[in-house]
Amino acid sequence: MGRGSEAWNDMATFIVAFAVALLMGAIVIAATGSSPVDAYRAALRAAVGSGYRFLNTLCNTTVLIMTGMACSVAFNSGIQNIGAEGQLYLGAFAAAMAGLMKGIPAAAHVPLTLAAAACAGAAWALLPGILRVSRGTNEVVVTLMMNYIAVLLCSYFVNYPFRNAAATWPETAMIEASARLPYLHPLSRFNGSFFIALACVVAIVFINRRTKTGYEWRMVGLNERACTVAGIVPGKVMLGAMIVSGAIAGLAGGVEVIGVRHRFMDAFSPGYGMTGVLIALVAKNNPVAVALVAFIFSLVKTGAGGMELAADVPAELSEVLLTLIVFMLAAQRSLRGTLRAARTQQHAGR
Amino acid sequence: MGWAVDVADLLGATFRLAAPVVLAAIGGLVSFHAGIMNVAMEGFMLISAFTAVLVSYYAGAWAGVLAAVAVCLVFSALYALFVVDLQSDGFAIGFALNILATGLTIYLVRILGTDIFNSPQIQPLPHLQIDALAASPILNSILNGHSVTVYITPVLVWAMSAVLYRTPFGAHLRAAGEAPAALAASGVSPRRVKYAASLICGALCGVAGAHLSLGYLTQFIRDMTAGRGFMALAAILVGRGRPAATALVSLLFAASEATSMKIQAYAAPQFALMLPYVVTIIAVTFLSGKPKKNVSSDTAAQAGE
Amino acid sequence: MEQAAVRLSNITKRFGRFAANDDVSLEVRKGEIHAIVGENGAGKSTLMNVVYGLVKPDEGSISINGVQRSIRRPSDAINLGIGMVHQHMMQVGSYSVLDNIILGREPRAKWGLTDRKRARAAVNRLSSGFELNVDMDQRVCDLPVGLRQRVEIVKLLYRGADTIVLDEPTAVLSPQGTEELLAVMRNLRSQGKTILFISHKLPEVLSVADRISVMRKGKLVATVESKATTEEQLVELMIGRSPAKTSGRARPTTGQVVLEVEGLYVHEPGSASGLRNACLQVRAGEIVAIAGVEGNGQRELASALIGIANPDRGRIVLNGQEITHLPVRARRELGMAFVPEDRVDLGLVLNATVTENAVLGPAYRRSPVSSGWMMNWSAADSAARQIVERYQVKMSGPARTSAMGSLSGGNMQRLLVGRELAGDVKCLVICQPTRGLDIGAKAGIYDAVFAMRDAGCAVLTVSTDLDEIFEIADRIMVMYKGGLVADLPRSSSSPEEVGLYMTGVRSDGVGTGF
Repeated sequence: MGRGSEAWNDMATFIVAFAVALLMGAIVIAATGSSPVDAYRAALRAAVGSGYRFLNTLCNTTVLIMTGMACSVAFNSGIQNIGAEGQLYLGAFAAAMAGLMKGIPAAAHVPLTLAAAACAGAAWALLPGILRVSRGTNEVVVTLMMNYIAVLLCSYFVNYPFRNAAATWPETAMIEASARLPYLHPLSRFNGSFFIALACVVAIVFINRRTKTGYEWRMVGLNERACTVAGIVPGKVMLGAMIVSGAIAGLAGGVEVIGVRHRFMDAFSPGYGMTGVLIALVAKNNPVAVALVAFIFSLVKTGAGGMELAADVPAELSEVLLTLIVFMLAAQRSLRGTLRAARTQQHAGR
Repeated sequence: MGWAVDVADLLGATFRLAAPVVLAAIGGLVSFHAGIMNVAMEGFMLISAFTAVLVSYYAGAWAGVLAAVAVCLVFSALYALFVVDLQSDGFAIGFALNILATGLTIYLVRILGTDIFNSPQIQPLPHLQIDALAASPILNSILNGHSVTVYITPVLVWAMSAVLYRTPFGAHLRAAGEAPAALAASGVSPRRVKYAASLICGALCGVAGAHLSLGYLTQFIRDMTAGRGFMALAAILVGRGRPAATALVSLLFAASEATSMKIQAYAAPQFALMLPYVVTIIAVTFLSGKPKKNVSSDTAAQAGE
Repeated sequence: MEQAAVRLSNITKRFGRFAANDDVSLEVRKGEIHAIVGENGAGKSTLMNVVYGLVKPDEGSISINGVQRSIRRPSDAINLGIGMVHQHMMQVGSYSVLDNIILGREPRAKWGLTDRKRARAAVNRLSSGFELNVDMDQRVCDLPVGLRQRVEIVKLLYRGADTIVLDEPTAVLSPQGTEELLAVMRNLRSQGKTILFISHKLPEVLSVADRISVMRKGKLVATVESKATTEEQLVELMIGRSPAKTSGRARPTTGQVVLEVEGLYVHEPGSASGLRNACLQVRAGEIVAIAGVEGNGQRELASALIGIANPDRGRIVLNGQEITHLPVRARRELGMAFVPEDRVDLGLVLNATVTENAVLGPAYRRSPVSSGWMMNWSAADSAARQIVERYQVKMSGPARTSAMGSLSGGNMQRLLVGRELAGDVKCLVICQPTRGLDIGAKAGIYDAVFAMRDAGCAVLTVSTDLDEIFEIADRIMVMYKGGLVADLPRSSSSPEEVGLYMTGVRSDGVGTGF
């Protein structure tokens, strides 16, 4: 039972689950009177139908990779950070604030905004992390509540003190040109942030596989008590993971601002943070899998948008399909787990 | 005494707002004692709110409630299937269910037409007018004129307490969570008990969701639950699994929600809206703990069946 | 001919390719005490689980009182009059004795409520009838092990059990507690009950059983009349050959005090006892064993020594340095090693690889396994391989990719011990070193422990197994109700004497201070 072959196995089952979900979606679409063929063709065209459309899909993938990474780093260490949404918002807002500062040279401005975004996200993750580590407070509840608080807080900022009076939607002013990541294609909003996301994946893979911190994260996530007995302090390790997780989520918001929208807009996230949780769960916290799963999710979501426009099928169907994939994978994994447990049990003497 | 009227109003609003959280929390409590930490209550309530409105539009309020409960039973059976039989990660499945609920309800609203979900044809749940209470204006605004669900909620809390601690089913339930192997060895199937717990949780979430969409407003809007399912979870953690304490904490959360509505006029609305969430965090931080269970000194691996 | 109370015919149960029970046929006569002996892993527990419906056999049949029955779950067994007292007691700790006894058979009153009054009366009748009195309102987790067993027995009598299965009941009892249990068994037999009794302790088996069946490697090797056999004969049947002579374990001269505990008080919430005023010393080159019935403060002592429990009062000193409140990592850096009792929960990470487990401890922070922030996995692999070779850990694949959970219990313990003994260990605390292991694995662990002692390490071992203690200890201390009540040299002591201290009959107040 090598870890390599298990990865191939997981990928194969994911593809099967995806296919079954598509099939179920087709049935639902047909049941509501539309043509599944038309719908899926429209979806495919919207997602990858041409160069710029594909770039748009990649652009949407960026945020998802990063929120997925954020969640997977935390989950891997045993701390259930579902606050990516809130950390994302604060990171985005911090990036916008940094981006609005005048007189900063271009070479420094982008790193400044990214640093601001990461710090804001990390700071928002700090409280739930400390509460969990020092008092055992349930981080699921705390991070979730802080999501709502974060969105409301940013909404306040962008409706009152920092509102751009000239715009119809509550949003800040456009950030300085020096802070922006330029669009790399005239017809798409694809920009350099995609490569930042990939760099993030590479960095986490490196940390996980080659550093002491990665080892500690993994071991604490698998068995906290054994780590305590071995001399590791799980609290410190989990807090570190939480901070990194928040930073990445904040960064996700930051790149949305400096790369795509060039300003902070009220309620800009259609649930990127929550989708990140799903991605991490599907990918079993494996960074490379997170990137791949994020791409698939982005395909589905972008395609769904096109499907709605062209074939009049509501885009929310994509949410339903994606969660169906989670269920199927869960079922399949537990079946496989039961088989393996039965084989292991033969030697289970204590 | 103008402030007395305000406080009475606030208390009345509190009871009204508390019902869904208390009901969901009591349901979640049953599941919690059986060893299943249900994070899908949010999704259950959303689906039930949706179903209640839809069916009430065509067939009246009681049909709406029944349908809502039925749908929740189906979903909680599904949840139990994954968590109990397939031994999947409860958190992952619950979370996925929440997202499924959000997506599915919005999808169906758009397919079926938004008019249905905002129509005057939707029949609300009946409200009770108790004449004796109408005499005192203070008591009237606190206790009178509420939807039926508000009145049955305390009854359910009391009943749940009795069931948990004084019936065989309650003993089996708590044993299923604390020592499933012991329960199995005693001849009772922990699997069945856990399924039952899940279904009870689903049924109560069904009533909670129905109250949400049919109790006072009669409409369904996206994200109607706004985190109440997680507040119920928080109430369970703070109440340490005891029904009365859990209900009290839920009341606290509802009071903060009622207060936030009152103070919205005085400052930027966002801060008022934050209040319930902040209160929840404070409660969970300083008051929560696990119920007094035995720190088992046996090293036996507790097999779940 | 009288029908057998229980007849097992050709029972086979496989876990994967391993046959825990291999074509076992056994007949238990009504009203007899029938013992099943065999070393750990021979399949005794599996067989009993088949009888009780916890495990479904792949082949074979069971008949109760002459009628073939299908027993698919415990309630089937209970309905057929079979009751079982498990080795790891299946009780709900936070429930009272009464609630545990009636669990699953609660008498009902009006409105579906539990009728406690009726239950209490019924249980009272039973317990006085069989002379098994217990306080019904005490929480089970607060009871000592011997009383918990009694509760289990009353529980199955409450369900009308005629056949009582006891799975290693004496493993956790003192010699005196064992005598009491054997008396209970004789009493039950005189009242017409049939008893199936698993044990690996031959003297008690010979003293109480009518017939004895021997299992070895999943097969039933023989059934003999207990009057017609001897301990040596049974041992030979159990292991298939004459036992090896235990070589004399010459004890080298001891050095200075390495570990010292003074006036230690530890209280763990949720636990019945705690540690009161513990004082002990362990010198370099000696093995000190802490005997005692489980639950008398041993866990608290071990936890305080390694650093996962904080003492309320007192001092722990390692080689002259006070470590009372030092974190675990610092203690390990000073040369302390720890093999915990719960090896799976506290010692190993089952879902990680063998290599990852092999360096879990001070090793992963030191070169060559790591330098600076980076891990050197090939160095980690060779560290793992060294342990595997030296302690003969058997795995199905290479250390780098084998999951820890795929190893057998004995091999897991070997790896754990090997990992803890790697490096410069000055003081080893090892709890229940060979619980659940077969003879081969046991010998390997003992060899390793002796090697440490001979190399000058101070060894403290906590064990509930008196045979084990008398095999390896140089000095024996006894724990009773949180205090250390004896300090005896092994050579001049006996299990009976230790037993007197274990049950509080005798107490020297040694180490309890004043």
